[in-house]
Amino acid sequence: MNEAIKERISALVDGELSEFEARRVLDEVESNPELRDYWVRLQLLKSGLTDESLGFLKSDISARVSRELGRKPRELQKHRSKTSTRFFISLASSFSLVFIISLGFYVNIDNVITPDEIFAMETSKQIKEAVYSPEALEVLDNALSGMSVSLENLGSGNNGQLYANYKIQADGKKFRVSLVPISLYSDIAYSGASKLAYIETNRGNYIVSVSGDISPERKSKILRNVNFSLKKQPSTKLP
Amino acid sequence: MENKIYSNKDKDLVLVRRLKRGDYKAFDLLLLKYQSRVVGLALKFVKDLQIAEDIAQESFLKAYKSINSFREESAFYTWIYRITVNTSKNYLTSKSRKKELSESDINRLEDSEDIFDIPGGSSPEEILSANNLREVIMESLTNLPEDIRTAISLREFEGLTYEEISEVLNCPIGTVRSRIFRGREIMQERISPILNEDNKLNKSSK
Repeated sequence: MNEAIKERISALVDGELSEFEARRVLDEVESNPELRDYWVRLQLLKSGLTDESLGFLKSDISARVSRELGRKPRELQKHRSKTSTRFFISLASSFSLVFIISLGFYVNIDNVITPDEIFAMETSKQIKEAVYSPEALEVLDNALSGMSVSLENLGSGNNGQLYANYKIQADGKKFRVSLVPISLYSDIAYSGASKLAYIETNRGNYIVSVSGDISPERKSKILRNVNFSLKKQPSTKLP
Repeated sequence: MENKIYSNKDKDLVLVRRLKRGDYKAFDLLLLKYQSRVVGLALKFVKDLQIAEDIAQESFLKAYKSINSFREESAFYTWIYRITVNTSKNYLTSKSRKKELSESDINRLEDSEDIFDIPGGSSPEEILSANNLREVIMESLTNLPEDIRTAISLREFEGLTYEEISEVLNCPIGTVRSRIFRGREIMQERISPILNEDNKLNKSSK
């Protein structure tokens, strides 16, 4: 990217460009998605410094608004971490299959285990190892047993947190189950403490929560199942 | 604080005026700039992210269509904030969903200045991710060369204009602009790995 145009965008963010300069910058931004992305990142930097919300990472309605106004949304950048993304998608797809098969196994416990199911279970084991917390995901599977949902994908964060995104097959709604190491709990200002459950694993204790487009009843059911599959509460006390 | 509010109002003005002349690109940048806050605000009324995004979308469309009625006496964000509050209230009324929030809750939210916190629908790892990002941003600021750090601090925390900063630091305005830009470049390099990771996960979840 051209340094000069970036410097002008930086000045525009601060309201320090003349209208003439601004027009030129806007023309550049219009034709270059990287510059549009640069504008977004500058806003993020400023928000981080001034303690404003950083939540826009998850909500981008600009394409929708453009479409409503009869404009073609700009193509978003496609350059980031393609390999890793493919890995996660592949992981999620595999795990989704495994999950559905596993559900059948849990529900129909008397059925004969087929070679496919054995393969799926073996794959499941590898996948679980790949996301570093086999016990946690096993409990997660149990927590969702009996619900007609499919795993969309899963991921992990820098501090050991894990999450899995699910889709409810009946209505297509999506929700997320999050596992956060209990040791991190004191660092986050999470207000939904009454709706938490816990998972104890060999790798430590996790707090489980459910968010997204899901009814309170289903949310409660998942958390109840988590607690049921735990059999005991973790020894670590909440701060 | 007063400086900052004044400055915030001013810094959108050039975009607002471009928009009034029919320049959609200016609207696009305002949208990118404020969409998260608007979604967060709507989320306080409806408690559902998808509906909040719908309300935010409608609010921006209203703003776009009625931009000529915006008289520039207040900041653009104050205006879009008001539109969003009204759109949220209309949604609750039309859907007979006021029961989701009590009347007093709605009144409290309307009057609330607390519009910058993380939306209530955020999950713990999203909160952690935001906290991590904020920490890295602040740490990278601390590690900037002193002249650059000072320029950015005066801009971001004191709300000074480039001209005012140039007077304080006794250097040309161009130097101020350049220092602020260089500082942001350095800070962006620090946060890029985190943002790329978030984008990767967000994309794979869609």
